[in-house]
Amino acid sequence: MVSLFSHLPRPKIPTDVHHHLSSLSTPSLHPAIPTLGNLYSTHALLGGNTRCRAMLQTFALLLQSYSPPPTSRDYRHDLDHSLLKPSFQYWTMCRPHSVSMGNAFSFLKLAVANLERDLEWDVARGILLESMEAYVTERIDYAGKAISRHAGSKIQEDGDVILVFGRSEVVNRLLLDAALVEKKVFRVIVVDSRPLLEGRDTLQILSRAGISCTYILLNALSYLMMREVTKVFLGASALMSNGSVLSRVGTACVALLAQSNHIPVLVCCETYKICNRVQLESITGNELGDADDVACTDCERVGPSNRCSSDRERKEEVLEDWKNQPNLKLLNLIYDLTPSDFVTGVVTEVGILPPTSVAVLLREMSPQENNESAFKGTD
Amino acid sequence: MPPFLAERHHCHHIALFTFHRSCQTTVTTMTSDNPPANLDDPQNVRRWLQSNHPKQFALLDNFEIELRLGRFSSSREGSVAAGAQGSSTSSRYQYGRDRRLVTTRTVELLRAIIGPTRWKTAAQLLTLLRGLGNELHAAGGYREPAIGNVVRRIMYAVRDEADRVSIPTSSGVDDMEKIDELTEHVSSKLRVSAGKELSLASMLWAHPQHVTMKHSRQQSGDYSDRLRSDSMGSESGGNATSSIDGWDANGAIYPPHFYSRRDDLRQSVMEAIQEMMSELEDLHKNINEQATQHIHAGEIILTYALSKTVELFLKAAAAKKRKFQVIVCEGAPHFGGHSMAKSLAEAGIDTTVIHDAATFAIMARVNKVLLPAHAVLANGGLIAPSGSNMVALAAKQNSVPVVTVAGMFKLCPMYPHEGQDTLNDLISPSSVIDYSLMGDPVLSGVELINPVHDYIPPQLIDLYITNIGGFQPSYIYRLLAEYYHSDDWEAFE
Repeated sequence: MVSLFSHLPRPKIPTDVHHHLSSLSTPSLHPAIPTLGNLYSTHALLGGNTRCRAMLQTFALLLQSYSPPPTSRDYRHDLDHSLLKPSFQYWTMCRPHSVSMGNAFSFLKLAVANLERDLEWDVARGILLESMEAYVTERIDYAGKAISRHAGSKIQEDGDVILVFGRSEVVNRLLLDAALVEKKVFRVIVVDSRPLLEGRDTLQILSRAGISCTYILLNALSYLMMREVTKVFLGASALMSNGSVLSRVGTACVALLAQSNHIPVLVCCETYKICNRVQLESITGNELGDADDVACTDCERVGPSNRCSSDRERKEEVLEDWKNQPNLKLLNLIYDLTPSDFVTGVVTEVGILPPTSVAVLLREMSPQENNESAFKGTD
Repeated sequence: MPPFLAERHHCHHIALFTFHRSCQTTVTTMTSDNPPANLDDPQNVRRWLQSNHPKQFALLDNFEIELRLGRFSSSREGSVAAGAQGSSTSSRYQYGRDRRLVTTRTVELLRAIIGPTRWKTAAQLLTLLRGLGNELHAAGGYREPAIGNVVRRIMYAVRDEADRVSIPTSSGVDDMEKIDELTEHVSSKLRVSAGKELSLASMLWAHPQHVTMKHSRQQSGDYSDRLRSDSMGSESGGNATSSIDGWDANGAIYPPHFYSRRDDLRQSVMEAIQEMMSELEDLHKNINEQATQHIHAGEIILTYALSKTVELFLKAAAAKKRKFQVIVCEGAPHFGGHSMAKSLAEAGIDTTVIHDAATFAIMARVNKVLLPAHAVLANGGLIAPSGSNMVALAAKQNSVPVVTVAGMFKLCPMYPHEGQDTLNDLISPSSVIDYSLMGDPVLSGVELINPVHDYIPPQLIDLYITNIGGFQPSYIYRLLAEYYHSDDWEAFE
């Protein structure tokens, strides 16, 4: 592997994961856990919101079938130790968790810790399920609607040419709302990049809604950018507290081109994806994907992003036997970091903010943790 | 078929069809009315060649056919393999991979046409060249700017030679006397544009184009004050009102001494062409000599897509035992980067292939960016494979030097007035999205764009490495004056 990236987690095959974990002294896993793990590692589930929802749904399922052992002194501790932690660990081994998943998991642990010690398990479970439900509804679904309203107000009535990159749930939603509900007339340019080619899904979704679209690969962007694009909407996997945006690889290139042509860039992101990490550039915290995806040059797939499956007829690739060549390495980065100066505004459910305000949002959102540490001793 | 999906071979078929038709019409005009075709008009060049030099005409025809069919776009082995694989590579547009080969063949063709044909004066030769330039440009030379460039260079060499010694031939007078006479003759006629007397210092500082000729009144009223300006698109002789023979339809006026018969001109022009051929042959050798100046041990170098020049440059540095790493962007949708990486790895260079999207992410670790060139423009800008503009911008953002490796035959005397459309081409989007999707009624309304090149403005480039040395972009315009005459700048349209 490339030495520059030796600090990053590498993709693992699910069978390896299972062997590794079964060697630990945990009881047999509920089948839902490896199922979800498999979906993660084969990239069948992509996107921060999707993965987070799937995780919370699976937790709900696990909670339904769990009951604390009768000898336990504190059911919360057992819950944490025997259910929550191992499953999260398992999924992280299948594929490193996204910031959205991490924040949701922290929320869940906090909810468990806040339960009364002497509550009945059924009641406790009911509370937990309710709070997970509320989390998804408020911080993902309602947030998405609010973002759509805020960002949609920036789309003009007629004649806008909007650029989007890859596939972002919240950006698609806001474009569909603007076109179908508010009946605005605009064109969309969908920019796509290898290897995941998620833009094809966006293209399908938007075209079916009747929006006129242009589809290009990332290399053609510089040709089109100056001529016609009026605004750029990007999705995010996470917002760092210094205002930089962690998103699908290629987003930084789009933002760079837009900024050098003085075109506004709006990053649409829910507040639950804000992370208190600070990151300066894309290499310190990233994820490596499967290197074979680089060698496979099949640009002719459509539909849900799927990898090169071996049963389809494949044409000869130039780099087919790259593993035999010791000097040759393939690198497949999944994320990249867009510096905050490329971003004009961050659209969240609380409004459109400059990227420098993300740290303020972080502080506002989790008052009890931050304020405790800041105001220790007073009061 | 939707218009934006016009395929390349469709264009070829149409081109061949019109080509045949034009052949037929030429033949019919030849047989029907027969004024002898003079070499006074570039548009007559074809007929002139056809009537006087059928062998050269056949050479020209063959060359044009091969050019239109794009057979020069890959080397021998490549085209054989392409034929074997059939449709899978026809969708991969191999865009001019071996450009030096095309250029060399063009120079050979020009040599074969100029050498044996019966032109007498410099003006006739220039008209011949101009006509050939038009022909080649129409036959697909617009895709390969180097073809126009070599024709212009030969024209410059011709002008240079013709200006150098303009003695009428076959006089048995003593040589020395003749030269003295000539010097006086020339110096009395030459005046530097600023109107000062001719002196060594003023000659050194004057641009060659600024030296005008003063003539007697009877030739042309407005010719005496004509200044050939440096800028492109000089309307040379557009206001010609005289009816003297020899001035062609384009209105190009040549100085009067170009119209005198010169027997020694042929020799010197052939020598100039030979110089150009050897420059082309030694191209990579001269470029690679500079490799060790720029590539040092432990560096991480980023390059984009496929380029023979860059590949040989890097291999030359590796051959001198420098240990460095190369990161190659794959260059979707043509994936030239894959072949490049394989070739570099086989030469023992530590190579990594990344997606184009990861360019910005990786730029923080890169020491130098090496870009290939399709053409170098007069303002110092660069025409490079599509996607290079992004690489150059990312490099600028991270303060990484951007170096371009190019042979001087890629230097074009044109400015990027069309912006991103300069020397650009939009090709079939079949490599972007599969045609089978076009049957889907929803997706068939989607616009697909697939440009081949990008224009990179000169402020993003730090250095041009060429076979005559390294230059900064702001110096490129000065090199133009050494290679092309400003009268020949206009494109062969």
